[in-house]
Amino acid sequence: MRLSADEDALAFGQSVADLYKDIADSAALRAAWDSDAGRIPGLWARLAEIGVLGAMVPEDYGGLGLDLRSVLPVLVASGWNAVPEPLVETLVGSALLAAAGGSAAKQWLPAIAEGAAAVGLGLGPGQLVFGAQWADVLILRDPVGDAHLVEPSQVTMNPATSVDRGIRVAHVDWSPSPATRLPDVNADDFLDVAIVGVAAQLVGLAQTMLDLGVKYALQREQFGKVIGSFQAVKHQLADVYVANSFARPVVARAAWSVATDQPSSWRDASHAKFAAGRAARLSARTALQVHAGIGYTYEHDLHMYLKRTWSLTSMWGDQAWHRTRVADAVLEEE
Amino acid sequence: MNIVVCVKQVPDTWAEKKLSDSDKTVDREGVEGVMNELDEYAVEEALRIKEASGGEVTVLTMGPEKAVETIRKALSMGADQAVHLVDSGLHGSDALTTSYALAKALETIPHDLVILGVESTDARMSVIPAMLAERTGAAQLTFARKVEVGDGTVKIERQTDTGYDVVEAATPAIVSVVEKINEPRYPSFKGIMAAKKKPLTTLTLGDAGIESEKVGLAGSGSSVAEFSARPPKQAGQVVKDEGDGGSKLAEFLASQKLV
Repeated sequence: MRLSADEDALAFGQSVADLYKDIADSAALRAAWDSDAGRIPGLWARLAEIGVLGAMVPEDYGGLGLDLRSVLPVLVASGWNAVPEPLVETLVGSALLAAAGGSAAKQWLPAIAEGAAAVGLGLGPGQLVFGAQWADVLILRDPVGDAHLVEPSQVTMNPATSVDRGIRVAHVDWSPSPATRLPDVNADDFLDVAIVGVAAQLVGLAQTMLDLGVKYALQREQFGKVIGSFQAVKHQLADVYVANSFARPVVARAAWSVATDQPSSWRDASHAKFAAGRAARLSARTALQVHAGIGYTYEHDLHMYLKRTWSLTSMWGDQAWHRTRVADAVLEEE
Repeated sequence: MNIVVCVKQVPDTWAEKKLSDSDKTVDREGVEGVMNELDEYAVEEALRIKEASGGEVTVLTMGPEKAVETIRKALSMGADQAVHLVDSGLHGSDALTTSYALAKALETIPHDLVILGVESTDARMSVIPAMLAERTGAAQLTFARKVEVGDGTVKIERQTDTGYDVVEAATPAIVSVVEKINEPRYPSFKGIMAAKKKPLTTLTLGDAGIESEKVGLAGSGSSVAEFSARPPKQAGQVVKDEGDGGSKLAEFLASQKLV
């Protein structure tokens, strides 16, 4: 059982990381935050070009037919840069449509792979739909757990505000019907895919904030020394490194479980999101403490990453919800 | 038109570069190796020419075992095959001997055009393209900001300080390209997968007919006698405002002939 990403997946992640370095760095992220659209111009098309958007689209529909394990490094890289695009939503949406097949798959999957369509995802547990305002098509869960395909024109969208200006989220009023229902898919299975996707982004995000904290601790001087030389500071940063190092394999394990359809998928997904969320929160808190007040100002990059941490840790279930799911699974086994 | 692109692996562009204490060559062990940034433009240009007018693109790299990572990136971008000149005897070669080794390796690859980045970000000599042209007898079309390929000819716009010159030559030719000639592509997943199946030929000194005493540290005409770290930045002059801060500033600027 191989849990870590293979060589091809790592090279894929590196290629995407290089792309982000060139056109989706923190300055581009800031520009996106300050714009009405909230996205980085041209990035979506480039992601389609190198195969990211079609990664989980089957080859018959113009994609690569990969599973979550192979896109994990790409998602971690997307976390580093807090990329403001509906990436997890669209990847998960494409996997769900591929499982459903039929006319919905035929209509939407080639467009997704080409970068011509983005997905908004509302799979619960809350009623929020992520990526809704950016979406060409919405995939929503009804109260009994079936997935539905709905076009934005068929719903009433009430945009919700987020502290994170790099995401779009809305409450959506809609009515499920046999015509919108996607056959043969259980929405909850794909909720687990989304949870692991966000967990991977959190691992990347935790790394970015740790890097910022370490860099600052090696520059800022106090009492005639760089503050990183003080144990009180360096031990805190080391704790973040440890927490994130422990989260990585948990996320890899969850991706494996989800990709190979294990009965424990839901437990492993929640474990991953909880572990990655805890590492990211610790990283956010520590980076902020190391930077002191300056890290909180809007003008500092850390500000955007802090808010991304808050938004991702509460997306697709908050820390308490995921911890409870893991606890339930553990107690059930006993 | 068959094109050879010379690609070099260099220490990460933003990493602190060091010379090793033992033999005073660039320390490539301690840092991450990446494709020389300017060579990315060369690969992209070769691929564009190939896509427009056919032919094959071969990557030629001289460097240690580790440089194969960079070769793989060029293949992932879309080059058809690669030749890796790798031999411990090449370690420490200067520009002059490198151009000799590359020229010998080029003899093993049929080609009409050789494209290189204008310089490497580690050594920054910018002389290899010209030296290669001299050694191979091919036309020297350096500092290109635009390349046009005709029937047996190549025309470039050579970047100058004040504008550009149009230079044209018959093939075979050696072209070096400047930054921003194009926008290099990123390897796609399909490209990454395809790269694994592409032929990679390894050449030793003997395979390429390179005389070992003419390369490496000993064979090089130039050598590093001594080196030292750049001195730390001097502390600036602090002007304390005691009611005359303005005039002190003006005095300083005047002393530097800035006002």
